Amino acid sequence: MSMLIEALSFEEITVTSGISTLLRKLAQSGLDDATKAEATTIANHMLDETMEHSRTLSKILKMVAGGDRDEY
Amino acid sequence: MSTEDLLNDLREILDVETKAKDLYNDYLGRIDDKLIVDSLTNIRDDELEHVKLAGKLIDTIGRSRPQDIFIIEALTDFAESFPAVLVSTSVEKYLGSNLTILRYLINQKNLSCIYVAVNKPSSSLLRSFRKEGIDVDRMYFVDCTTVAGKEERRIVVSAGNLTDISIAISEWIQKVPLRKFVHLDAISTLYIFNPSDTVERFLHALVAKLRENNVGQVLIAMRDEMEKKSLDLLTSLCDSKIET
Repeated sequence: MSMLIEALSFEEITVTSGISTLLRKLAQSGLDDATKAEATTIANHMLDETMEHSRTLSKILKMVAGGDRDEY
Repeated sequence: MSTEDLLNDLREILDVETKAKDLYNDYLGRIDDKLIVDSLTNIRDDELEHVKLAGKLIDTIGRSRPQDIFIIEALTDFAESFPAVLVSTSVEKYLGSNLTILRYLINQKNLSCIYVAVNKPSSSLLRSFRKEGIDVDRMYFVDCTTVAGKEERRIVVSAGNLTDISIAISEWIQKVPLRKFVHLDAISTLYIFNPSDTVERFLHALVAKLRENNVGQVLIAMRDEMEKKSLDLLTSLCDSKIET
């Protein structure tokens, strides 16, 4: 179970915050419109999947721990 | 926000995604439960894709250049050929584009600027330009928003009187001896005070007159505030067009 907690924490804290910061900086950047739009689409896709990973890991953790509460 | 800042962030993300992929590979070697293995395999595959996407982002952003560079590149020969350049800009990019053009043509190319101020009074513009480090000693104004008053480098006219604007520009062309350009900020506002066909006739005559006198011209147009037909006509009058 500890490895699942480690993975969840990694996805929720490290990866999500890194991509969110990147998206904020992209919006403020002086990149040309086409590059900015392409980069933002890719970063949003990565962020969506990372959040989905967190949801999947939460479900597995709940299943492994045998709990029936909604943690989130 | 510089491109290098973004690239540094992306390198960190690439590192984090690579660690995530390795983490799941390690877990997969230690878990037997099929349901969990399937879920973690899917996540690991996503992480593999994210590593590729982060690499692609580094490549895309590394190859890109700031908007300012496009404007400067488009104006490289301006001080040699003195063309008529139409700058079609969005409301959001209007201020930044205007400052980039002035900074480049006045400070770097050492041109004098006859600034036709239709949107803001020259006093307010001067304050902003000084703050931005633009050499205002090379600027001469045709001010269409100030009601009255006289200053050494300012001629006050009405935005609704295009003949007066034209006369004021001619006056500066005669008085300013150095290599110069007319910066019309912004054409779109002239349409508020004058019928479109009058503005178009005025611009047609102005572009021709400045060409004849070998005076460069930068015509700023906020495209969202103009009809496409008028913008098309302006494009055909000018030698080149910059979109920002």
